[in-house]
Amino acid sequence: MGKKLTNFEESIRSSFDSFEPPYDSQSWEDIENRLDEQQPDEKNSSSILSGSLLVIAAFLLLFSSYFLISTSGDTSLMATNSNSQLVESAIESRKVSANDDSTFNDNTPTQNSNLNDSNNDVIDAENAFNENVSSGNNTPSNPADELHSEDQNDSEEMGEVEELVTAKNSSAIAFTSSLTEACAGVGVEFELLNEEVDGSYLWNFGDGNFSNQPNPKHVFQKPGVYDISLSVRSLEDGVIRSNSVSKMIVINPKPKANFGWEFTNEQEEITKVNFLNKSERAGEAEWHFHDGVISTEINPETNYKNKGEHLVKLIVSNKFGCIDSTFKYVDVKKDYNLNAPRSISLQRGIGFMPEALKTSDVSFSLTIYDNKQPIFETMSRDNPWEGKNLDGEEVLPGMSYPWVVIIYDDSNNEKEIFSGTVTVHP
Amino acid sequence: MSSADLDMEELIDGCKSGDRKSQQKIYQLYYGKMYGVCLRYTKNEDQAKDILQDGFIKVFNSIEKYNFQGSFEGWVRRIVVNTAIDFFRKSKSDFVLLGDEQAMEDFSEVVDDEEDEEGEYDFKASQIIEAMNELSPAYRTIFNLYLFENLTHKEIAEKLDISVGTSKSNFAKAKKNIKKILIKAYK
Repeated sequence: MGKKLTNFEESIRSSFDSFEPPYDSQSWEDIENRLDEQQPDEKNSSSILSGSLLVIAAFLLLFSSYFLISTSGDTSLMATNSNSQLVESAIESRKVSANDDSTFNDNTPTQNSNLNDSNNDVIDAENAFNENVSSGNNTPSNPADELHSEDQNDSEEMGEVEELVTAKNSSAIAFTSSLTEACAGVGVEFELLNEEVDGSYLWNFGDGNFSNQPNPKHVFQKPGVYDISLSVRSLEDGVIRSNSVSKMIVINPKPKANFGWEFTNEQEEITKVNFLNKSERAGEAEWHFHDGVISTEINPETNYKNKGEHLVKLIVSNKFGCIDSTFKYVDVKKDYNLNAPRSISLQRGIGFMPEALKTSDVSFSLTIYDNKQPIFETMSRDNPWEGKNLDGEEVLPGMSYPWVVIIYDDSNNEKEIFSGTVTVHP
Repeated sequence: MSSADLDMEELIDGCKSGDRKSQQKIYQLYYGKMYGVCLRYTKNEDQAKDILQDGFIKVFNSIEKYNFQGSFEGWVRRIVVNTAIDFFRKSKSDFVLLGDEQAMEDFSEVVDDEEDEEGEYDFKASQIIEAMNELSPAYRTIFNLYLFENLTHKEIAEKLDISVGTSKSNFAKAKKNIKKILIKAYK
């Protein structure tokens, strides 16, 4: 050390020895968000770069762009630089691996391993795709430029695209969802608003999951904002119609309720339990203890008079209103009754006063009963019951006498009641 | 090596590979201690939380450099403390230190107080933090570095690029103020 500290300095330092503010799970979310911002989701980029999903994504983006234009008015165009690049590379990779498109197959929802089965439907879908693209772009070399210029409202290009759409007689696909904002782990139902057609459906939930159901239900496991796309390929004419709604579903993080506890009482004291909220991603807590006692403190403390297993339930919520709950049993090892003696002896002249009252400074009243009549009452710890009734006569020995102690908490006007019996020996 | 140490190694390795769960565990483990440190270096909880956050981001971003030499907690703490010092260095106007001349003058004035410090003191951490909140960032930083990071005035002088005399006088002044505040409020 080599450094001499004064008493004052030493006391300041040691005051912090065991100083640890309780954990605040909310603050982790903030850090997590910042870490997420630093490193964009690797999974997304890698899955897009590798193989089949690329083509699917590109299809959806390309078509959705066209359809959004055709239904002109509601949402923003999705044709951005990066989308255009995707479209470009999609066309490239389509040539290389036609099999990748087989996610359009009715039987292959999400498994990449199934993608190797070649299938006639796939070829059809591809042809349809080819037709659309070539009739929309007389210069097929660079569809990206086409899409890009639409951003700038190039009227000539718009006309061309509209022509493409009407030529194919494809009305826009529309869909809706049961929820637009939910918590992770909650199922969201999607519903096609168009009349159901015979054909194949491909929903892209934006989280790496797909469905071939016309009206699927999907559980989002991870928080995030998801773009939802749907492509429908009609069996009748083979035309693929798609739509995509960006940022359609917001999934909020779900809290996870958890807690522990520690006994903080000294040997002689009432069982004191300090609960530690170990919930994750939860801002608020509601604790349900015995006797309907509820606390909203983060780490509350409570007392147990009786031994046994006591149910404690914790309900936590976060700022998005997502809740989670858990319960556990606290095993209390001993009854506590103010450490009152079970008996007194008239001979020895030691009166009755619960031990706990002798050493504490609470306000209390102690009453002894005989045949349901109070025979002694005191509010002073220096005035124990010496086995006498109201007339100052010794009570019958060998009998048990009920006692009741009421402890008053002046700070909040609450009282706590303890009771028991004391046997009087001669 | 105890199982706890093994767990730590696992967690740190997890962090090195960017595993979010390991990062969260590390954060949970050291939140209390480090937030306690931040509270001492700042004037309010918001500032403390900002610094804690920046500090942990730095910890996770540079955890690859941690080579298991020396205690991990000490390593984390150094980063957090440096983050706090940088925070106030950036806002220079806040971070005014007494110049040397002024310092020596004040120093002779406060040095006598040392003898008054051998009584019994029993302040709570929260009370001390409250008192420290009222100090200027410069005083607070020096007070922290000397008392809690256990640096010598020479080391503080080097770290903050000030003279040893300035460090001494600023510490003495900071301490005097804190004592005044504490005694007035709680004795």
